[in-house]
Amino acid sequence: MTMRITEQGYLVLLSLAEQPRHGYGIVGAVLDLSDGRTKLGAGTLYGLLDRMGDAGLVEACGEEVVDGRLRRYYRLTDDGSAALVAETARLRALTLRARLVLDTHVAFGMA
Amino acid sequence: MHLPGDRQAGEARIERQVRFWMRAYPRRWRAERGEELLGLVVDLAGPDVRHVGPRGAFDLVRGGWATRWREHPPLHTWLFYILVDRRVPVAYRSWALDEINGFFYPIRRQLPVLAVIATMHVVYPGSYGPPTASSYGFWALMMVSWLLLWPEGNRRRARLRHVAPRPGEHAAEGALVVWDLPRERVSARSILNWAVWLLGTAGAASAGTAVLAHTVSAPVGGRRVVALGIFVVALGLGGLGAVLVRHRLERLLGERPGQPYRVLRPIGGYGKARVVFGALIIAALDWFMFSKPIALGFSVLLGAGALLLLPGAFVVLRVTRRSEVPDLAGTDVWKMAVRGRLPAVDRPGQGLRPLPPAHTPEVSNDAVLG
Repeated sequence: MTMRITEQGYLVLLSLAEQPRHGYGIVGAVLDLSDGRTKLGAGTLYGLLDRMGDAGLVEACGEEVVDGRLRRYYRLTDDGSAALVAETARLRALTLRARLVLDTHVAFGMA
Repeated sequence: MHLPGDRQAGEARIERQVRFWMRAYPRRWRAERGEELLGLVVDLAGPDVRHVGPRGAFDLVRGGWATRWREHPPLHTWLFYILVDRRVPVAYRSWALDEINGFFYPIRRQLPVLAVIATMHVVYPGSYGPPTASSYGFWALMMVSWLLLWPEGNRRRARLRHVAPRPGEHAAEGALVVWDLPRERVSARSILNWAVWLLGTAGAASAGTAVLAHTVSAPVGGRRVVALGIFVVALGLGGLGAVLVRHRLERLLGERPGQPYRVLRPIGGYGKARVVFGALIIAALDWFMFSKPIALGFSVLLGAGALLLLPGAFVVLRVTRRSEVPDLAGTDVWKMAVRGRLPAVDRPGQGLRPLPPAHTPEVSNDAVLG
Protein backbone atom coordinates (compact mmCIF):
# COMPACT_ATOMS: atom_id res chain seq x y z
CA MET A 1 0.00 0.00 0.00
CA THR A 2 1.36 3.45 -0.88
CA MET A 3 0.56 6.66 0.92
CA ARG A 4 1.03 10.29 0.14
CA ILE A 5 3.63 11.69 2.48
CA THR A 6 2.52 14.95 4.07
CA GLU A 7 4.85 17.41 5.76
CA GLN A 8 3.94 15.98 9.16
CA GLY A 9 4.48 12.44 7.87
CA TYR A 10 7.83 13.42 6.43
CA LEU A 11 8.94 14.88 9.75
CA VAL A 12 7.87 11.71 11.58
CA LEU A 13 9.85 9.55 9.13
CA LEU A 14 12.82 11.86 9.51
CA SER A 15 12.63 11.66 13.30
CA LEU A 16 12.79 7.86 13.08
CA ALA A 17 15.73 7.87 10.65
CA GLU A 18 18.18 8.61 13.44
CA GLN A 19 16.99 6.02 15.93
CA PRO A 20 13.86 4.14 17.06
CA ARG A 21 11.66 6.40 19.19
CA HIS A 22 8.48 6.19 21.28
CA GLY A 23 5.56 8.55 20.79
CA TYR A 24 6.81 11.25 23.16
CA GLY A 25 10.27 11.06 21.57
CA ILE A 26 8.79 11.45 18.09
CA VAL A 27 6.78 14.52 19.11
CA GLY A 28 9.92 16.11 20.61
CA ALA A 29 12.08 15.26 17.60
CA VAL A 30 9.49 16.63 15.17
CA LEU A 31 9.33 19.84 17.19
CA ASP A 32 13.12 20.19 16.93
CA LEU A 33 13.28 19.25 13.24
CA SER A 34 10.59 21.77 12.35
CA ASP A 35 12.27 24.48 14.40
CA GLY A 36 9.30 24.60 16.76
CA ARG A 37 6.69 25.02 14.02
CA THR A 38 5.09 21.54 14.10
CA LYS A 39 3.73 20.34 17.42
CA LEU A 40 2.00 17.02 16.86
CA GLY A 41 -1.02 16.12 18.98
CA ALA A 42 -1.35 12.55 20.25
CA GLY A 43 -4.31 11.79 17.97
CA THR A 44 -2.53 13.18 14.93
CA LEU A 45 0.65 11.22 15.67
CA TYR A 46 -1.12 7.90 16.09
CA GLY A 47 -3.14 8.49 12.94
CA LEU A 48 0.15 8.97 11.07
CA LEU A 49 1.76 5.93 12.70
CA ASP A 50 -1.28 3.78 11.86
CA ARG A 51 -1.23 4.80 8.21
CA MET A 52 2.54 4.44 7.93
CA GLY A 53 2.31 1.05 9.62
CA ASP A 54 -0.38 -0.06 7.15
CA ALA A 55 1.83 1.19 4.30
CA GLY A 56 4.81 -0.74 5.69
CA LEU A 57 6.93 2.36 6.30
CA VAL A 58 7.29 2.00 10.08
CA GLU A 59 6.97 -0.86 12.55
CA ALA A 60 6.86 -1.33 16.30
CA CYS A 61 10.15 -2.63 17.66
CA GLY A 62 9.73 -2.98 21.40
CA GLU A 63 8.12 -1.45 24.42
CA GLU A 64 8.92 -0.45 27.97
CA VAL A 65 7.00 0.73 31.00
CA VAL A 66 8.17 4.03 32.46
CA ASP A 67 6.45 5.39 35.60
CA GLY A 68 3.65 2.89 35.05
CA ARG A 69 3.04 4.05 31.49
CA LEU A 70 3.51 1.96 28.38
CA ARG A 71 5.90 3.30 25.76
CA ARG A 72 6.11 1.52 22.43
CA TYR A 73 9.08 2.17 20.17
CA TYR A 74 8.83 2.56 16.41
CA ARG A 75 11.48 2.34 13.71
CA LEU A 76 11.73 2.79 9.98
CA THR A 77 11.43 -0.27 7.76
CA ASP A 78 13.48 -0.64 4.58
CA ASP A 79 10.49 0.65 2.61
CA GLY A 80 10.23 3.56 5.05
CA SER A 81 13.90 4.45 4.56
CA ALA A 82 13.48 4.26 0.79
CA ALA A 83 10.37 6.45 0.94
CA LEU A 84 12.22 8.98 3.10
CA VAL A 85 15.16 9.12 0.68
CA ALA A 86 12.82 9.49 -2.29
CA GLU A 87 10.78 12.23 -0.59
CA THR A 88 13.96 14.07 0.40
CA ALA A 89 15.19 13.91 -3.21
CA ARG A 90 11.82 15.22 -4.41
CA LEU A 91 11.97 18.10 -1.93
CA ARG A 92 15.57 18.87 -2.92
CA ALA A 93 14.56 18.98 -6.59
CA LEU A 94 11.61 21.17 -5.70
CA THR A 95 13.90 23.48 -3.74
CA LEU A 96 16.24 23.77 -6.71
CA ARG A 97 13.36 24.58 -9.05
CA ALA A 98 11.98 27.08 -6.54
CA ARG A 99 15.37 28.77 -6.27
CA LEU A 100 15.57 28.97 -10.06
CA VAL A 101 12.11 30.53 -10.25
CA LEU A 102 12.89 32.99 -7.49
CA ASP A 103 16.26 33.92 -8.99
CA THR A 104 14.62 34.56 -12.36
CA HIS A 105 11.79 36.50 -10.73
CA VAL A 106 14.20 38.61 -8.70
CA ALA A 107 16.34 39.13 -11.80
CA PHE A 108 13.32 40.39 -13.80
CA GLY A 109 12.19 42.44 -10.82
CA MET A 110 15.53 44.17 -10.67
CA ALA A 111 15.68 44.78 -14.38
CA MET B 1 4.08 23.98 43.28
CA HIS B 2 1.99 20.82 43.65
CA LEU B 3 2.31 18.26 46.44
CA PRO B 4 2.69 14.59 45.40
CA GLY B 5 -0.91 13.82 46.44
CA ASP B 6 -2.21 16.73 44.34
CA ARG B 7 -0.12 15.55 41.45
CA GLN B 8 -1.52 12.01 41.65
CA ALA B 9 -5.07 13.33 41.84
CA GLY B 10 -4.36 15.57 38.85
CA GLU B 11 -2.96 12.64 36.85
CA ALA B 12 -5.93 10.46 37.78
CA ARG B 13 -8.30 13.21 36.61
CA ILE B 14 -6.55 13.74 33.31
CA GLU B 15 -6.42 9.96 32.81
CA ARG B 16 -10.19 9.72 33.28
CA GLN B 17 -10.71 12.52 30.79
CA VAL B 18 -8.38 10.96 28.23
CA ARG B 19 -10.15 7.59 28.57
CA PHE B 20 -13.46 9.36 27.99
CA TRP B 21 -12.33 11.12 24.82
CA MET B 22 -10.52 7.97 23.64
CA ARG B 23 -13.90 6.31 23.25
CA ALA B 24 -13.90 7.93 19.81
CA TYR B 25 -11.41 5.20 18.81
CA PRO B 26 -12.61 1.71 17.84
CA ARG B 27 -12.83 -0.78 20.68
CA ARG B 28 -10.06 -3.11 19.45
CA TRP B 29 -7.75 -0.18 18.74
CA ARG B 30 -8.21 1.00 22.32
CA ALA B 31 -7.45 -2.49 23.61
CA GLU B 32 -4.21 -2.66 21.60
CA ARG B 33 -2.94 0.91 21.71
CA GLY B 34 -5.05 2.74 24.27
CA GLU B 35 -2.54 2.60 27.14
CA GLU B 36 0.20 3.87 24.85
CA LEU B 37 -1.92 6.78 23.64
CA LEU B 38 -2.97 7.57 27.20
CA GLY B 39 0.65 7.70 28.35
CA LEU B 40 1.57 10.04 25.51
CA VAL B 41 -1.27 12.45 26.20
CA VAL B 42 -0.38 12.60 29.91
CA ASP B 43 3.32 13.06 29.10
CA LEU B 44 2.54 15.81 26.60
CA ALA B 45 0.27 17.57 29.08
CA GLY B 46 3.13 17.90 31.57
CA PRO B 47 3.06 17.67 35.36
CA ASP B 48 1.13 20.88 36.03
CA VAL B 49 -1.73 20.39 33.58
CA ARG B 50 -4.76 18.66 35.11
CA HIS B 51 -7.30 18.82 32.30
CA VAL B 52 -7.51 17.79 28.69
CA GLY B 53 -8.15 21.12 27.03
CA PRO B 54 -10.54 21.64 24.10
CA ARG B 55 -7.67 21.32 21.62
CA GLY B 56 -6.49 18.02 23.13
CA ALA B 57 -10.05 16.65 23.23
CA PHE B 58 -10.64 17.69 19.62
CA ASP B 59 -7.37 16.05 18.57
CA LEU B 60 -8.38 12.75 20.21
CA VAL B 61 -11.91 12.80 18.80
CA ARG B 62 -10.67 13.69 15.32
CA GLY B 63 -8.00 10.97 15.50
CA GLY B 64 -10.53 8.42 16.78
CA TRP B 65 -13.11 9.10 14.10
CA ALA B 66 -10.43 9.18 11.41
CA THR B 67 -9.34 5.72 12.59
CA ARG B 68 -12.94 4.49 12.52
CA TRP B 69 -13.38 5.91 9.02
CA ARG B 70 -10.14 4.27 7.83
CA GLU B 71 -11.15 0.86 9.18
CA HIS B 72 -14.75 1.06 7.95
CA PRO B 73 -15.55 -1.04 4.87
CA PRO B 74 -16.61 0.74 1.67
CA LEU B 75 -20.28 1.54 1.20
CA HIS B 76 -21.17 -1.41 -1.03
CA THR B 77 -19.47 -3.90 1.33
CA TRP B 78 -21.20 -2.35 4.31
CA LEU B 79 -24.60 -2.41 2.55
CA PHE B 80 -24.30 -6.10 1.67
CA TYR B 81 -23.22 -6.79 5.25
CA ILE B 82 -26.03 -4.87 6.90
CA LEU B 83 -28.80 -5.82 4.45
CA VAL B 84 -28.12 -9.48 3.65
CA ASP B 85 -25.53 -10.35 6.33
CA ARG B 86 -22.84 -11.06 3.74
CA ARG B 87 -19.45 -11.96 5.16
CA VAL B 88 -16.99 -9.06 5.10
CA PRO B 89 -13.55 -9.38 3.42
CA VAL B 90 -10.53 -10.30 5.54
CA ALA B 91 -9.33 -6.68 5.73
CA TYR B 92 -12.47 -5.67 7.65
CA ARG B 93 -12.65 -8.49 10.18
CA SER B 94 -11.38 -6.29 13.00
CA TRP B 95 -14.05 -3.80 12.12
CA ALA B 96 -16.67 -6.57 12.08
CA LEU B 97 -15.62 -7.77 15.52
CA ASP B 98 -15.97 -4.26 16.94
CA GLU B 99 -19.27 -3.84 15.17
CA ILE B 100 -20.69 -7.10 16.57
CA ASN B 101 -19.42 -6.45 20.10
CA GLY B 102 -20.73 -2.88 20.03
CA PHE B 103 -23.49 -1.79 22.40
CA PHE B 104 -25.74 -0.59 19.56
CA TYR B 105 -25.27 -3.70 17.40
CA PRO B 106 -28.86 -4.94 17.99
CA ILE B 107 -30.23 -1.63 16.69
CA ARG B 108 -27.90 -1.69 13.67
CA ARG B 109 -29.22 -5.16 12.82
CA GLN B 110 -32.70 -3.63 12.59
CA LEU B 111 -31.59 -1.01 10.06
CA PRO B 112 -33.16 -2.84 7.06
CA VAL B 113 -36.55 -2.93 8.82
CA LEU B 114 -36.22 0.69 9.90
CA ALA B 115 -35.23 1.64 6.35
CA VAL B 116 -38.38 -0.01 4.95
CA ILE B 117 -40.57 1.78 7.51
CA ALA B 118 -38.89 5.13 6.80
CA THR B 119 -39.37 4.56 3.04
CA MET B 120 -43.06 3.79 3.54
CA HIS B 121 -43.44 7.07 5.46
CA VAL B 122 -41.76 8.98 2.65
CA VAL B 123 -43.65 7.26 -0.19
CA TYR B 124 -47.06 7.30 1.53
CA PRO B 125 -46.89 10.29 3.86
CA GLY B 126 -50.67 10.65 4.15
CA SER B 127 -51.25 7.08 5.31
CA TYR B 128 -49.38 7.42 8.58
CA GLY B 129 -50.02 10.97 9.69
CA PRO B 130 -47.58 13.16 11.59
CA PRO B 131 -45.48 11.50 14.31
CA THR B 132 -46.92 11.82 17.81
CA ALA B 133 -45.46 11.55 21.29
CA SER B 134 -46.88 8.00 21.49
CA SER B 135 -45.13 6.94 18.29
CA TYR B 136 -41.82 8.35 19.55
CA GLY B 137 -42.38 6.55 22.84
CA PHE B 138 -43.15 3.31 21.02
CA TRP B 139 -39.93 3.48 19.02
CA ALA B 140 -37.89 4.42 22.07
CA LEU B 141 -39.34 1.38 23.85
CA MET B 142 -38.59 -0.82 20.85
CA MET B 143 -34.96 0.33 20.78
CA VAL B 144 -34.46 -0.27 24.49
CA SER B 145 -36.06 -3.72 24.03
CA TRP B 146 -33.71 -4.55 21.16
CA LEU B 147 -30.71 -3.43 23.19
CA LEU B 148 -31.61 -5.40 26.30
CA LEU B 149 -33.40 -8.46 24.97
CA TRP B 150 -31.09 -9.27 22.03
CA PRO B 151 -29.91 -12.85 22.61
CA GLU B 152 -26.17 -13.18 23.26
CA GLY B 153 -26.22 -16.30 21.05
CA ASN B 154 -26.91 -14.05 18.03
CA ARG B 155 -23.72 -12.13 18.66
CA ARG B 156 -21.77 -15.37 19.11
CA ARG B 157 -23.05 -16.75 15.80
CA ALA B 158 -22.32 -13.43 14.08
CA ARG B 159 -18.72 -13.49 15.39
CA LEU B 160 -18.24 -17.03 14.09
CA ARG B 161 -19.68 -16.07 10.71
CA HIS B 162 -17.89 -12.77 10.12
CA VAL B 163 -14.64 -12.97 12.08
CA ALA B 164 -13.47 -16.60 12.08
CA PRO B 165 -11.39 -17.70 9.07
CA ARG B 166 -12.89 -20.36 6.81
CA PRO B 167 -11.15 -23.74 6.25
CA GLY B 168 -8.07 -23.29 4.08
CA GLU B 169 -7.72 -19.58 4.77
CA HIS B 170 -4.39 -18.28 6.02
CA ALA B 171 -4.53 -17.38 9.70
CA ALA B 172 -1.58 -15.42 11.06
CA GLU B 173 -0.39 -15.67 14.63
CA GLY B 174 -2.81 -13.81 16.88
CA ALA B 175 -5.72 -14.07 14.39
CA LEU B 176 -9.00 -15.10 15.98
CA VAL B 177 -9.93 -18.69 15.13
CA VAL B 178 -12.64 -21.06 16.34
CA TRP B 179 -11.93 -23.21 19.35
CA ASP B 180 -14.00 -25.63 21.36
CA LEU B 181 -14.64 -23.91 24.66
CA PRO B 182 -16.52 -24.95 27.79
CA ARG B 183 -20.23 -24.20 27.53
CA GLU B 184 -21.16 -21.18 29.62
CA ARG B 185 -24.37 -21.45 31.63
CA VAL B 186 -26.04 -19.20 34.17
CA SER B 187 -26.11 -20.79 37.62
CA ALA B 188 -29.51 -21.86 38.94
CA ARG B 189 -29.20 -20.01 42.24
CA SER B 190 -28.28 -16.75 40.59
CA ILE B 191 -31.07 -16.82 38.00
CA LEU B 192 -33.72 -18.07 40.43
CA ASN B 193 -33.12 -15.17 42.83
CA TRP B 194 -33.97 -12.77 40.04
CA ALA B 195 -36.81 -14.93 38.66
CA VAL B 196 -38.55 -15.01 42.04
CA TRP B 197 -38.15 -11.24 42.32
CA LEU B 198 -39.59 -10.68 38.83
CA LEU B 199 -42.52 -13.08 39.26
CA GLY B 200 -43.32 -11.59 42.66
CA THR B 201 -43.31 -8.06 41.21
CA ALA B 202 -45.54 -9.11 38.31
CA GLY B 203 -47.99 -10.95 40.57
CA ALA B 204 -48.20 -8.16 43.15
CA ALA B 205 -48.54 -5.41 40.53
CA SER B 206 -51.28 -7.26 38.66
CA ALA B 207 -53.21 -8.10 41.80
CA GLY B 208 -52.93 -4.49 42.95
CA THR B 209 -54.21 -3.29 39.60
CA ALA B 210 -57.15 -5.71 39.71
CA VAL B 211 -58.14 -4.35 43.09
CA LEU B 212 -57.71 -0.65 42.32
CA ALA B 213 -58.52 -0.35 38.59
CA HIS B 214 -61.47 1.80 37.49
CA THR B 215 -62.99 -0.77 35.18
CA VAL B 216 -62.79 -4.53 34.97
CA SER B 217 -63.91 -6.08 31.70
CA ALA B 218 -63.12 -8.85 29.25
CA PRO B 219 -61.98 -11.57 29.58
CA VAL B 220 -63.22 -11.69 33.15
CA GLY B 221 -66.81 -10.62 32.53
CA GLY B 222 -66.62 -7.18 34.08
CA ARG B 223 -66.47 -8.39 37.67
CA ARG B 224 -63.50 -7.54 39.86
CA VAL B 225 -64.07 -10.55 42.04
CA VAL B 226 -63.63 -12.85 39.04
CA ALA B 227 -60.20 -11.35 38.37
CA LEU B 228 -59.16 -11.81 41.97
CA GLY B 229 -60.59 -15.33 41.90
CA ILE B 230 -58.43 -16.16 38.91
CA PHE B 231 -55.36 -14.95 40.82
CA VAL B 232 -56.26 -17.07 43.84
CA VAL B 233 -56.80 -20.14 41.66
CA ALA B 234 -53.49 -19.50 39.85
CA LEU B 235 -51.67 -19.19 43.15
CA GLY B 236 -53.31 -22.40 44.40
CA LEU B 237 -52.40 -24.30 41.23
CA GLY B 238 -48.90 -22.85 41.52
CA GLY B 239 -48.70 -24.21 45.07
CA LEU B 240 -49.72 -27.68 43.87
CA GLY B 241 -47.20 -27.39 41.07
CA ALA B 242 -44.55 -26.44 43.62
CA VAL B 243 -45.16 -29.69 45.51
CA LEU B 244 -44.74 -31.66 42.26
CA VAL B 245 -41.63 -29.66 41.33
CA ARG B 246 -40.05 -30.29 44.72
CA HIS B 247 -40.74 -34.00 44.44
CA ARG B 248 -39.20 -34.12 40.94
CA LEU B 249 -36.13 -32.16 41.97
CA GLU B 250 -35.43 -34.29 45.01
CA ARG B 251 -35.75 -37.42 42.85
CA LEU B 252 -33.66 -36.20 39.91
CA LEU B 253 -30.97 -34.06 41.51
CA GLY B 254 -28.92 -37.05 42.62
CA GLU B 255 -29.18 -38.75 39.21
CA ARG B 256 -27.88 -35.85 37.15
CA PRO B 257 -24.96 -36.65 34.84
CA GLY B 258 -21.63 -34.86 35.36
CA GLN B 259 -20.94 -31.76 33.25
CA PRO B 260 -17.27 -31.80 32.23
CA TYR B 261 -17.68 -29.19 29.48
CA ARG B 262 -19.51 -26.59 31.51
CA VAL B 263 -18.59 -23.31 33.18
CA LEU B 264 -21.16 -21.71 35.46
CA ARG B 265 -21.41 -17.98 35.90
CA PRO B 266 -23.77 -15.74 37.84
CA ILE B 267 -26.37 -13.75 35.98
CA GLY B 268 -24.53 -10.87 34.28
CA GLY B 269 -25.21 -7.16 34.04
CA TYR B 270 -27.25 -7.63 30.86
CA GLY B 271 -29.35 -10.35 32.53
CA LYS B 272 -30.06 -8.14 35.52
CA ALA B 273 -30.91 -5.24 33.24
CA ARG B 274 -33.35 -7.50 31.38
CA VAL B 275 -35.09 -8.50 34.60
CA VAL B 276 -35.36 -4.89 35.76
CA PHE B 277 -36.59 -3.86 32.32
CA GLY B 278 -39.20 -6.66 32.39
CA ALA B 279 -40.36 -5.54 35.84
CA LEU B 280 -40.59 -1.92 34.67
CA ILE B 281 -42.62 -2.91 31.61
CA ILE B 282 -45.00 -4.96 33.73
CA ALA B 283 -45.35 -2.14 36.25
CA ALA B 284 -45.93 0.36 33.42
CA LEU B 285 -48.60 -1.85 31.83
CA ASP B 286 -50.32 -2.30 35.17
CA TRP B 287 -50.17 1.42 35.88
CA PHE B 288 -51.60 2.10 32.42
CA MET B 289 -54.47 -0.30 33.02
CA PHE B 290 -55.00 1.15 36.47
CA SER B 291 -55.04 4.77 35.41
CA LYS B 292 -57.19 4.34 32.28
CA PRO B 293 -60.70 2.92 32.24
CA ILE B 294 -59.78 0.04 29.93
CA ALA B 295 -59.94 -3.72 29.99
CA LEU B 296 -57.89 -5.58 32.54
CA GLY B 297 -57.53 -8.67 30.34
CA PHE B 298 -53.79 -8.52 29.82
CA SER B 299 -53.10 -7.67 33.41
CA VAL B 300 -55.14 -10.66 34.56
CA LEU B 301 -53.34 -13.03 32.20
CA LEU B 302 -49.95 -11.63 33.22
CA GLY B 303 -50.68 -11.80 36.92
CA ALA B 304 -52.17 -15.29 36.69
CA GLY B 305 -49.12 -16.56 34.81
CA ALA B 306 -46.73 -14.99 37.33
CA LEU B 307 -48.64 -16.35 40.33
CA LEU B 308 -48.79 -19.79 38.73
CA LEU B 309 -45.00 -19.92 38.43
CA LEU B 310 -44.03 -18.05 41.62
CA PRO B 311 -44.50 -20.84 44.21
CA GLY B 312 -42.57 -23.32 42.07
CA ALA B 313 -39.73 -20.87 41.51
CA PHE B 314 -39.57 -20.12 45.23
CA VAL B 315 -39.49 -23.82 46.15
CA VAL B 316 -36.80 -24.55 43.55
CA LEU B 317 -34.71 -21.68 44.90
CA ARG B 318 -34.91 -23.10 48.41
CA VAL B 319 -34.02 -26.61 47.22
CA THR B 320 -31.02 -25.41 45.23
CA ARG B 321 -29.82 -23.31 48.17
CA ARG B 322 -29.96 -26.30 50.50
CA SER B 323 -28.45 -28.96 48.25
CA GLU B 324 -24.78 -29.35 47.33
CA VAL B 325 -25.05 -28.92 43.58
CA PRO B 326 -22.17 -26.70 42.50
CA ASP B 327 -22.69 -27.20 38.74
CA LEU B 328 -26.46 -26.77 38.62
CA ALA B 329 -27.53 -24.42 35.84
CA GLY B 330 -30.85 -22.66 35.37
CA THR B 331 -31.55 -24.76 32.30
CA ASP B 332 -31.12 -27.97 34.36
CA VAL B 333 -33.70 -26.79 36.85
CA TRP B 334 -36.15 -26.00 34.05
CA LYS B 335 -35.73 -29.44 32.53
CA MET B 336 -36.04 -31.33 35.80
CA ALA B 337 -38.75 -29.23 37.45
CA VAL B 338 -41.01 -28.47 34.48
CA ARG B 339 -40.40 -31.40 32.15
CA GLY B 340 -39.48 -34.01 34.72
CA ARG B 341 -36.42 -35.13 32.73
CA LEU B 342 -32.74 -35.39 33.45
CA PRO B 343 -30.64 -32.73 31.69
CA ALA B 344 -28.31 -33.91 28.92
CA VAL B 345 -24.54 -33.56 29.13
CA ASP B 346 -23.49 -30.24 27.62
CA ARG B 347 -21.31 -30.42 24.54
CA PRO B 348 -18.44 -27.95 24.26
CA GLY B 349 -19.43 -24.61 22.78
CA GLN B 350 -17.57 -22.70 20.09
CA GLY B 351 -15.82 -19.42 20.56
CA LEU B 352 -12.99 -17.30 19.17
CA ARG B 353 -9.48 -17.23 20.57
CA PRO B 354 -6.22 -15.83 19.21
CA LEU B 355 -4.13 -18.38 17.32
CA PRO B 356 -1.02 -19.18 19.39
CA PRO B 357 2.44 -19.08 17.74
CA ALA B 358 2.92 -22.87 17.74
CA HIS B 359 0.10 -23.50 15.27
CA THR B 360 0.58 -23.94 11.56
CA PRO B 361 -0.54 -20.97 9.46
CA GLU B 362 -3.19 -22.98 7.60
CA VAL B 363 -6.38 -23.39 9.60
CA SER B 364 -7.42 -27.02 9.68
CA ASN B 365 -10.94 -28.09 8.79
CA ASP B 366 -11.34 -29.57 12.27
CA ALA B 367 -10.55 -26.31 14.00
CA VAL B 368 -12.88 -24.12 11.98
CA LEU B 369 -16.52 -24.97 12.06
CA GLY B 370 -18.07 -21.50 12.01
